[in-house]
Amino acid sequence: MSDARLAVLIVAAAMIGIGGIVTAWNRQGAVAQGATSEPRSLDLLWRVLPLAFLAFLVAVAAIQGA
Amino acid sequence: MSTSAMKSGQASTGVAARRAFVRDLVKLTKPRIISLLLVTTLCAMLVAAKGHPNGWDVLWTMIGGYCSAGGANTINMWFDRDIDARMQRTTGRPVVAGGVSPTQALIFGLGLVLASTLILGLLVNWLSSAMAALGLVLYVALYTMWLKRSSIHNIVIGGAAGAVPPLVGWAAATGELTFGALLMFAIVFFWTPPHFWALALILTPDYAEAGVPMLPVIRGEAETRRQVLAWSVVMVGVTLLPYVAGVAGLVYLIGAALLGTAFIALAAILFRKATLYWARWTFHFSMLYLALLFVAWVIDAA
Repeated sequence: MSDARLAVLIVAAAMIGIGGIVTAWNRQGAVAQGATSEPRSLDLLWRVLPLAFLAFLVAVAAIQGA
Repeated sequence: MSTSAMKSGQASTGVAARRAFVRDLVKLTKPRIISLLLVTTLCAMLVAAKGHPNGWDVLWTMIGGYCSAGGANTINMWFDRDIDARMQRTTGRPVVAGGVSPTQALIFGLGLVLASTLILGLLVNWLSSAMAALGLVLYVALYTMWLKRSSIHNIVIGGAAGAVPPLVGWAAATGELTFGALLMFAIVFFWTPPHFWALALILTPDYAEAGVPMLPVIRGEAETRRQVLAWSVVMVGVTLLPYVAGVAGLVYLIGAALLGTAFIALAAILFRKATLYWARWTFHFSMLYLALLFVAWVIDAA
């Protein structure tokens, strides 16, 4: 992998990593005006799935760019 | 009044009614939303074919893509007519206003879906047709019928439906799906939350009235603004990956970096200043952003 691509990969991975953690964490009932009937396990799944997808994208991009 | 004058008057009334009905049918397809979807489809075709897709393939993919997205939107309006009637923004929709009956809307929507499947399958290729069908299932079943009414993650997971058009375009141009196609899908997928939550901030009272569990209704506006910023950072990070993977070059990277900086700056301003003014700016800019980002990729690939 070229230095330029490696530098962009590091920046992208940092943005995705930091942003991804924040997206998965909604403060419970911060200004809750209502509630959903969604089971907790499903709520957790919907938070984790995008993170798993992001990890997959970064890994494949790194392998393909190498 | 003479008999001929009365007949002429009845005929013109009939023509006007038919025109209004056709206008309502077009409204059911949500043409404004489809235009952005078709931009992503077209750009995917141009990138996949290195700037030179087959002209007939482009024509039939645009027509098939419109029918597919239009059919999905129509079925959405048929299913959501109860909550549309409770939201100020959607009370003028044809099924709610009575211009088109629910049964007519459902038949029209299913007809468009059938037309899309056949147009793409027979005139382009069956992979693009299958991708369009996937988008339909994601939008109607996953988003409209399930998540929209039950989950604060409705537009995150359901947003996958809006990310399918680039897959349709890529498949139409090449007959296969590569990592480049998946990255286009991912960009639209991670673009959807900040785009849609900016709109939800503007329409929070409407969603609350209709009982739709959008993020600002359930978690509040401050948390939504924080999430818009976080998802914007993630999205811009994802837009850098095509360069890393070698499926896009320096022109694209410069475009993605400049547009991404502007997007994050707007999201940061929205985070700090809790006004509808900045929510509107973020929402409108997000649409321009996506179109320009894909155009930058096309220029890079050509």
